[in-house]
Amino acid sequence: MTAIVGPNGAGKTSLIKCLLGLYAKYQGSVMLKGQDLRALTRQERAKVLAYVSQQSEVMAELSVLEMVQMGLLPHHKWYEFAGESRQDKAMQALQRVGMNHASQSKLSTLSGGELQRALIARALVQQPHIMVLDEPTNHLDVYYQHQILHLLSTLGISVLLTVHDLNLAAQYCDHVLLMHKGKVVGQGSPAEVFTESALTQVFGLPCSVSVSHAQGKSVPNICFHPDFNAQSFNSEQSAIPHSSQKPSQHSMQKTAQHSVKNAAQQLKPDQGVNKGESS
Amino acid sequence: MKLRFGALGLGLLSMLSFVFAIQWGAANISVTDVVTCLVSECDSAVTQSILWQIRVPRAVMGFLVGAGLACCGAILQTATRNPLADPYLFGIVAGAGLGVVVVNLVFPGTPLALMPFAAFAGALLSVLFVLALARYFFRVEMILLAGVAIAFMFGAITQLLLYVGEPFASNRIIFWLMGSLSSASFTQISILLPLLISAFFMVLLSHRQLDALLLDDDTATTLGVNVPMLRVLLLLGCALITAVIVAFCGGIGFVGLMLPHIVRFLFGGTSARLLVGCFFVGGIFLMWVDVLAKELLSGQEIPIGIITSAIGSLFFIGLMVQSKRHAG
Repeated sequence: MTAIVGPNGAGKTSLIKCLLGLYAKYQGSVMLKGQDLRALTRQERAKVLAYVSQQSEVMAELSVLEMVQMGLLPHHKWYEFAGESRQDKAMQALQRVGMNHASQSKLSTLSGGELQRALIARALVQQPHIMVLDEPTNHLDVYYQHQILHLLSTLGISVLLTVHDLNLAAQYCDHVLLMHKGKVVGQGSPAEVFTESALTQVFGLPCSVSVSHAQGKSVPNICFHPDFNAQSFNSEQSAIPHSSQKPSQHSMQKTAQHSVKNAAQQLKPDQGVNKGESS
Repeated sequence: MKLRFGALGLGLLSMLSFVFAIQWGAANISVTDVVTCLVSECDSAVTQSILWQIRVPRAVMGFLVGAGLACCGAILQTATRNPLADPYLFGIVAGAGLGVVVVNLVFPGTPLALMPFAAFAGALLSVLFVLALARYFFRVEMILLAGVAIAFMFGAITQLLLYVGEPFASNRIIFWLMGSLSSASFTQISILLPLLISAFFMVLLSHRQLDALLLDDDTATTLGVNVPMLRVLLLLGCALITAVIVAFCGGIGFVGLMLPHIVRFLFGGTSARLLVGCFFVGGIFLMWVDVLAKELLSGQEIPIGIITSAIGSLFFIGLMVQSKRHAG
């Protein structure tokens, strides 16, 4: 399980959109199991990569089961009609995310955490090697944030997600990419990447990191100490992402191009194929 | 409910509706007469000609127009993820109307058979404008706003032409713009029916791609759907069907907007259910609205567009009240 972290506008979303083939205009290449992503058709790509976008609600009046079945789209030809097996596969996926009791509920009646789990079930039905999620913990309270990340870490497939909460990333992910202004500035285990100096530089806030050791893992615990009156804070304005310096979408795309290759190499070591190994 | 049984039931209901709907009209014809006429020979030659030359084509046309408009509305609502989308708001009807008005006023005496082409040219123009604008802004939400803008622009040009046009011709066109099935004929049916049926089955076969559009564009793309291509094809298909309908029957509002909502409420929101439901419910609905149009005022026919608009606005207020109740 890999997390991409970084300030707003660091290029996290641009990076995963390049990886997913949603942006086609980038330099370099995204290699997936030794194949250029752009050489694959949409359908072939859809059988390898599943995407759960940032979504807080779904417009349509669909039931959970109907929505989850959409994940089967890349696996069926257009002339194949609906069958019992489609429902079975969708129900199995719902069972894995603990939502089988709500299969007939309308999407509009679900809570944020339930909707997120249903969306993950839809991606699971796609039988991807890698599941990519854009901020799956957005809009969720603490309980559901942990529930979703725990669920993702137990799926047994490679998971790549962007997340804002560094402590969540540290707790559940075994690999993190730290991004800043469109570049990957750090990668490795959370303990290696989340150092006080690196985080202070990227997020523009002083912080302290204490490392705890649990179950053979060292988990850094990050706490920021903003001091909005300090002189040093103002002088570091350039590092603050909310300022007018936020790069435009276009330039983001360009800068993200450079990180694509890096990140792709991270994904490449056939993580997806060894299902049991990754978490 | 299984879709197959649902479709079968709705099909039977349509048949039944048809038999009962064609007994209504200026001349008295009973249901027994209708049934005898349909299954064997008519009792009298008058009944024979009234039924086969006026009522049957009109009822069939009503069904096809209703089905077409409702399906177009459903498709547009799905393709743009906007519950307010329909051929009107997209400027398709306005474009088709402009096409017909231009041909009628500028080249009077053009044969009726060419009207669908004029309408389609106008509709195509409006769709291209809308797509160009939406592409410029690069957002799905913009399609509808662009459509509204184009609808007003084309509507303004149409009205200007009618205002400066020759009064008699203008009057005729204004009545036609209100919508009527009175010119229904087997010729019209022979054009609309094959178009509608083939478009319907083509869209029905790609219902899962349509479903994927319901989530969001990125998700649909990662599910293997060519989103821009699918959207353009759907828009053009709707433009074609709507243009033919407008050329034959004028403007019939609100069917495309409200029927999909009713069908979604009755049968659920997946594209397959929505399309099949809209086809039959839209058809049955318009067939009966046409009966109302003929019967409401004795000796006079009300333009069908007026009735659908009136029912539509009431329905809309009802929908708002309902959603407020739901929200608490």
